[in-house]
Amino acid sequence: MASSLLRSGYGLFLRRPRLSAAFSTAAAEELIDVRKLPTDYDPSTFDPSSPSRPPPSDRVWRLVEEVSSLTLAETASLSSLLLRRLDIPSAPPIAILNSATGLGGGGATAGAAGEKAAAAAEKTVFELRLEAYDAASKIKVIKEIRSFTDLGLKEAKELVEKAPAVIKGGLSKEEAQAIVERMKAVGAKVIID
Amino acid sequence: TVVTTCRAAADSDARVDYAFCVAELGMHRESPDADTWGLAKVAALTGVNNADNAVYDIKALLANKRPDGPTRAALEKCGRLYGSVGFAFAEADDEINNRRYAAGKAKVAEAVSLARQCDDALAVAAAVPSPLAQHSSYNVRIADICIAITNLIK
Repeated sequence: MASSLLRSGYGLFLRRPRLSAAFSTAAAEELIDVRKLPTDYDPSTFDPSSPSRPPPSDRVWRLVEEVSSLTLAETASLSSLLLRRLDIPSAPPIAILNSATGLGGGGATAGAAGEKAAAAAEKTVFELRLEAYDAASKIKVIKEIRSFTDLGLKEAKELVEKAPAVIKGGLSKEEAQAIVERMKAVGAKVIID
Repeated sequence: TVVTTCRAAADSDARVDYAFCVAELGMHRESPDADTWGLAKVAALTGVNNADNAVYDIKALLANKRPDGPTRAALEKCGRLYGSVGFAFAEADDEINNRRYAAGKAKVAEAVSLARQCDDALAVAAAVPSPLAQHSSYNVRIADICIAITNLIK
């Protein structure tokens, strides 16, 4: 029930303008009591003849009224406390909304989000920059660069002659390190960036 | 092989120096396994190398011998020209590699023309530094070899 409150609270907060629309609809149809409408009621898509979830209890409605009257700061505090009370792991807002539908599933979703965030923080793609080379080994350097790029001789030559220059991007760390060693062997200084 | 290809090239074109061809192309590590097409590219690459060496020597002359005005101007021009010679041979290599032999030979001819402009500039300045004389001679001979071998490609 508390998770339902959490979802209802967020939903109601986001759909406040629609609540006004609901009241307008209610005014147009005298017999409709807004308190009896389904929790997921939406005027634009509502079909009175279709089966729907039962209306929320009076207790829930009282809580909704209370939550709706909170300031933004109070809402933030409430959210934080509920997360703690319900033992919901910290996660981005989208994960909170997802977890409201089921604590177990929400936990998995939040975990995945955490892993993605951690992965994003760690650099996994590198590029190589030719810093300098031994002039006597210029041809060797050019040929070595052509061995791991699809550059023609002219393009490779131009690239080498304007050093320092990026010679290869989109590499894993292992690939980058292997090339650094090969370039070092032919008299070129290459750094991983 | 280098020997048979150089022999065929010399037989097809009197300008080809057979001994020079065998000596210069034979030094490349890729030569032993190269076919005619491969040797044409080796020749172009050798042209690139010679041009780059010329640029290097020109810079050394300018830095160390501090030549007078006319000679300095001629050397600076030659530095730019041999830089272009190197790229012309590089483009020749690319064209030959892409099986566009006529275009490749045109680039080699361009390299020869550019190097000749350097010779002319030096002649006007009445200066012919020995390293450049060697590079100029080498350039002509390797160009002849490259063109002749390219003509042999089946």
